Amino acid sequence: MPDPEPVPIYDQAALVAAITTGTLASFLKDAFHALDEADWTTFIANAAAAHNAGDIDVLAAFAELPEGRLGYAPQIFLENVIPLLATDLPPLTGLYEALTARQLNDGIGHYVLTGIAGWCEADSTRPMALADAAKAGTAPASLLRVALLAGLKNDRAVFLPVAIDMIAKGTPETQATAIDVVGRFDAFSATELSAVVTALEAALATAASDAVAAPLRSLLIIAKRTPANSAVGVRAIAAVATSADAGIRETIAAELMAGTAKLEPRLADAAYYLLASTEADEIGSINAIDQLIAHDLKSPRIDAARSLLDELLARRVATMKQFDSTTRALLTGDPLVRAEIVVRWLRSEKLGLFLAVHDLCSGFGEDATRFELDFATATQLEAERMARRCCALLMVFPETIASILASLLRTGPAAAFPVVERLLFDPLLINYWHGARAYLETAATGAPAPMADVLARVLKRHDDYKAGIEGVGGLRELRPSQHHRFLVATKKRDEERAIGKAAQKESIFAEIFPTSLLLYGDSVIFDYHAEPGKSLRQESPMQTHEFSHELPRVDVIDPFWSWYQRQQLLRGEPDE
Amino acid sequence: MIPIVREFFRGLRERGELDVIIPELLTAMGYEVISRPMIGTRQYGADVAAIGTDDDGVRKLFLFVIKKGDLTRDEWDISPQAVRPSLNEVRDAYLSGVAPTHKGMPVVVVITIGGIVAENIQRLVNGYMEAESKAGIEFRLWSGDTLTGKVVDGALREEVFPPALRTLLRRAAALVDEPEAAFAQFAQLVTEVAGDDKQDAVSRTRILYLALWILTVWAREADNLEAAYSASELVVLRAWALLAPTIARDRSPKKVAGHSFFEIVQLHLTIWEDLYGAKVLPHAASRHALSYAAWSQESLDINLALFKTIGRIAMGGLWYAWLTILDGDRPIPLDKPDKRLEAVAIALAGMIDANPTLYTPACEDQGIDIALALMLLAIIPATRNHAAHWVSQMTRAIITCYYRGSRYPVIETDYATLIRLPQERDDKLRKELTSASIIQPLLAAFAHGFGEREAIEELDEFQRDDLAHANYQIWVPNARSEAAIWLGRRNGSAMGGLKIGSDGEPVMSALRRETEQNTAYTDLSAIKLHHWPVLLLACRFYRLPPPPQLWLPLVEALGVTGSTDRVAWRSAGPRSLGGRKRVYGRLLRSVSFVAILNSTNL
Repeated sequence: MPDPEPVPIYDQAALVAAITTGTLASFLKDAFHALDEADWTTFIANAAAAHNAGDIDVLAAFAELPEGRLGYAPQIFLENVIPLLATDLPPLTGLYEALTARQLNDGIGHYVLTGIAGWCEADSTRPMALADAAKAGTAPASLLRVALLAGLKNDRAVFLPVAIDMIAKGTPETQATAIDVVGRFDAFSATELSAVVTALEAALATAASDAVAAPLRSLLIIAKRTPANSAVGVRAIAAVATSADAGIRETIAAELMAGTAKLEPRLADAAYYLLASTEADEIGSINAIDQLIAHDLKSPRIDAARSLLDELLARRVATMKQFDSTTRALLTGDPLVRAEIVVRWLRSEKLGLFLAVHDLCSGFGEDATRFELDFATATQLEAERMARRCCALLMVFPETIASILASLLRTGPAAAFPVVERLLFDPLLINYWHGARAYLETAATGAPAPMADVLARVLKRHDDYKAGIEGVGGLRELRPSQHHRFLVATKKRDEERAIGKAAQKESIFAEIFPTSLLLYGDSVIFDYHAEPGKSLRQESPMQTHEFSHELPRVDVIDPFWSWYQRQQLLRGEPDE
Repeated sequence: MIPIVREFFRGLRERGELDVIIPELLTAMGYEVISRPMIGTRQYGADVAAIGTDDDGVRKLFLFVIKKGDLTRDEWDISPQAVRPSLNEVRDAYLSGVAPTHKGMPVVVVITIGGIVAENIQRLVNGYMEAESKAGIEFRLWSGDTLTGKVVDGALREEVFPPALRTLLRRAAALVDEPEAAFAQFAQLVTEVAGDDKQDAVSRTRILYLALWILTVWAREADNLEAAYSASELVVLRAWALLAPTIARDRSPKKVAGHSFFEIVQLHLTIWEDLYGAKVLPHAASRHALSYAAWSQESLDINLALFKTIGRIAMGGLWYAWLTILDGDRPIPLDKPDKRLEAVAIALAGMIDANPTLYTPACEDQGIDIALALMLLAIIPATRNHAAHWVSQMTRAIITCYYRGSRYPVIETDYATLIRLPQERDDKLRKELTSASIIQPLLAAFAHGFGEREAIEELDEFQRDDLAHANYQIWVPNARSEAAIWLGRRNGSAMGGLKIGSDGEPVMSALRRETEQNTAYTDLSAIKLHHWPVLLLACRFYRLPPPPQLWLPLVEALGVTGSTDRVAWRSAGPRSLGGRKRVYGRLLRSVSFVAILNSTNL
């Protein structure tokens, strides 16, 4: 029998040994995994005691660790141990600077800030010392926030005036820090909050245009906190309404995006009013507005959300592709709401709204979008324009076109039927022989007489058209030569390779998962590590995912004509 | 070789094929053919009559009763065109009316079939021949095997058709479903035979004729006549090169060389009819049918196939026009064309309407096919409107494509380059690809003839504003053309620097001046001997723009004689630009260049 492996001991002596042998990081990792929560707490307490007794110097040990980002266990160790250390400020700021210098590209680690905040809160003198040092430049300026927060927690009577004074008279950097801290601190009394709001509103009123965002954001954070505070937000938005620029809109959108569920209607209305003037290049605002609208389409604020959405789409500020959350909300939400919105977009004179239907259809993924819409109140002009636009702009969604045109026949004005009939045949059916036709055949069953008559004529015309083509079939004499076919195959292979590479490059799956090439077979064999030192053979069948889509035929036989026809169908569009 | 020839005979049809081949075979064997088949009738039972020396050294009168394929009981005695009644007719009627010069000659009645005699009637046939044979009248049977033997030992005997050539023919026949490869083999055969100075021109032509027939039957069996059609164009041109000098000086009554050439042209037209008359034209006006028939997912393939097709269809039509006129050194407008010719032209017009890709030539080289098609459409009164419409709308389509940056006619002809041309707009590349044009001046000239003034203005404006860098040009024959053009060698002169002008007069004047001053054109044998389709065929086959001498008089004649028509043309076709639209977007909105769209009245 071999000797059993010795059980590792994570005591003070082991910690000292790890520090002296330069194996601190791996020692902490092992300890973090081996110890339960109580033992880990004891381990931390022992480490702090050893440091405070002078047996070890935790701060120096971490400052001297090899270059590179700290692992998770050392980070937790520091976060937990720093508040327990009886240390002066300089060694602590020294460690902070050493650690932040090691991970310049990763920002300041949350663990170290939390640790220092805990260290400040452990002694009422420490926040002010740290704040003074940060203002004087002997401690990193980024620690001012930690000091202010800890101070507000420990002693607001002292620190709130300090913060308010800083808002009014600080340097731009300390001012911004103080504004942010008071905005996020959520334990003020009513009186304290009133003072804070007054200070922030004063800052908002006097801020230069590039500094408005900070007090505005803090006021909005306060406004969102409880319904009673919403007036603060409304006032803040009103204060910036006349000077609203991209930055202000982004601030409003970003702040309201988080916690939109709790927004008071007045605050939401004020914000939507301002956000309606968002412009196309304001990507940050557009992304935030997307979240707002996606939420509000399912809320009592649906009308306001629809108005904002329509405004931005109509002005081509954004597309539904950019509003991906809104698209998802529409697709998964109430079908009646969706249908109502789609009808409005289709009927609109604004092409931007029509294009939104296109993007909405793209969001359906592999399933063809089919609408059953009510066009009872549409005019002949609207109906004909809708039909033309469908055929010009939705040609990649044949069944969608078929469903919209069928809806027009079912509920739209009869005067528009001749145009709809012509378009159903050309370009719809001459391009798509299967999906669209199958839909129309189904729609014809039980359809009202005028619609059934139109569909019967269209289907007959399509039958005749197909018969003309199928009558000749393929003529060998017209076929490209073997050499030409080879050249085309070579070209297509090159194109497919390029597409494949590009797709792989941009694939999120390719980023997440390692890929390996399997040349043969229909399943893959791999080892499954069930427990340390033990692996099991696994065999898993490979999955194939296929997707096919009917292509517009005329695009293949004559792409120029196909393109030209689409241009003609859009002829006279005001904003095309 | 034997199986190839045997299958060839089995595949021949009776009318216009087997009965046409037999006289050629007999001539090659040294017989004097005194009677050839006539369409619709047999001459008292005999399809062909010939005088020749039999194996016994005696001159005899040979009477051939011809039947395609195998001889079955039906074909022997039951069907309306059965052999036995024909033999009886020969016995009862033909022999009693033999010409005085042939009276008294021993007669051999030859039952000639492409295949074999069915086993169940062999005794009947043998019995008949034995019973009816008597002094001075003998009955014989030539089956497919007999004919094969006579070809292999006669017209295509080893001295004139050595193993190397037989291999080429065999390969060509075997590869008919890959027409490019089959044609390459056959073209080599043609070069070898045509260059064989040991035989006279007529004999060489006859070998080419037989070889082409064999290839054609094999191609027909494979349902792919492409190789046979290309081969027939080549054979016509090489035959002309061989025979033209003889035809020019032949004053004999038999005009053997002329007859040989005519046989070649007839075979070429037979193939044309099999391919275009039977397979393509019936579907020409079916919307998109021929576009799909090209069997390709590459739009360029469809474009190339259809432009090639209109060139060939037009060429066939122009042959028919020539057969109608049979005189003159250029095509002229016909007031009352024959029905077949008119049907071809109408089908061609229908094909253009039904396949929109024919409004957007992909390369300048297609100007050759456009020229041929316009000539045919302009000759026939019923299709002049279509031609005028095609010219004006193609003009707009080309301009639109140019502005769009894709599918405008480029100077490239290399397929590998054409399929990889970028589809997005690239101004530098576009300038390179449009540095010369034969299409633009051609369209301008025909637009002038058809009175399409707006199209001329647009072409002029397009040249001045966008294609100033392009050298607008035509091709004309020069002194070296006669020796080179029928053989596909480089020849002729390019005349560049053409300017359209706002009314088209500058380009027309330049064309008139050249056609008046150029003397090489009238020195071409095909023109001197009034065989102008041969020149057009050479242009189509060897990819040379048809010279203006052939189409300018037609264009001018339209302007002179078509004044009444022109009013109708203006009101008939879909109209176009209301004014001069230089800006792309405006052009797009105002242009409607294809009837299909107009018909939807959107």
